[in-house]
Amino acid sequence: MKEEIYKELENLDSALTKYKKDDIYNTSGKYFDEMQKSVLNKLEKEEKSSKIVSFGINKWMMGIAASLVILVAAIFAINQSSASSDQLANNEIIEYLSIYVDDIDETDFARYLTEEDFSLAEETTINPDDIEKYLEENIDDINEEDLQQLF
Amino acid sequence: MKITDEQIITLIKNDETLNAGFRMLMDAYQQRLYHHIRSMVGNHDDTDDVLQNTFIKVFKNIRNFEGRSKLFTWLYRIATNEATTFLKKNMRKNSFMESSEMGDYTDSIKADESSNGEFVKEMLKKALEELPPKQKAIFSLRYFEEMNYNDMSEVMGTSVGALKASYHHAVKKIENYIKQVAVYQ
Repeated sequence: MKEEIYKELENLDSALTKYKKDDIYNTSGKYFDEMQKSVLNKLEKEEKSSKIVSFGINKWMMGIAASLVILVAAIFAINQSSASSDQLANNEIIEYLSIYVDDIDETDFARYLTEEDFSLAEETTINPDDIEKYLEENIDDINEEDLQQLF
Repeated sequence: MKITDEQIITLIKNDETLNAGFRMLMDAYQQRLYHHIRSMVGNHDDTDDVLQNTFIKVFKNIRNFEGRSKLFTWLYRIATNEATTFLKKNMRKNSFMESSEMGDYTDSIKADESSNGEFVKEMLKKALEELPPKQKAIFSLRYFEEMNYNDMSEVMGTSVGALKASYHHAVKKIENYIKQVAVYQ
């Protein structure tokens, strides 16, 4: 026992100074060999599983990259098709609208109108008799809030 | 020739010699850490688990070891933390034994008393079990590992004054325990 430790115990009047301090927990030499093997195996397993995870992430990231390429290609194709739509003849557009008019949402359609179209619409005068007739026919479908907004 | 801590760290920080360096570190410290953990945890199987976890943590973190503390105090700190965490998870009621249990225990000691050394070992082991985790660690570091208070302060993250007080208290508790066993004999 180190002198410093011994003196401290002596000052505490401790009986621990009288005991011969052996290694109170004996282990065989083989235990430490096995322990080391076990630690290294665990580390190796962890390393392998972390490689699998990182490989998985790489595949996942490659998937995202591939999706991005497809997305960019699709946007490019759409732009190309909308560019060609500029060249469509008015009669073709009218024909298309006449066929699919029921499938077209008004709000979607409004997005394609220009400010000029809106000002033209505002200038259009509607016959009061037509309004009255419309209201009589559609009175059940008209929402009160919508009416309040109109007046 | 004994390898130094600096040489071990140098080997570990090089990818090519990492495994060899880590084996050397285990060779150099496994017995001391085993003893320290065992004196805190009690039985061999639990000690084995805690020791393995300690070395796994050491392996994962050694590259970040900057040498601001000594390698051995860093290792003891990890081992102490692992053992304390284990004890807290598996907290058993370690209040002083009921008198009936004490009777059984003294019988087992008498059976072993043929050698005085064995008797003292058993008494110390049992007395240690009665201490709370932190006091176990402090007693182990000072009495068994013969560490100085400054190094203990690095391991425990506690002031030297508080460590001295705790160690003295632990010594008194162990004394009382041994006296109590002697009365029952």
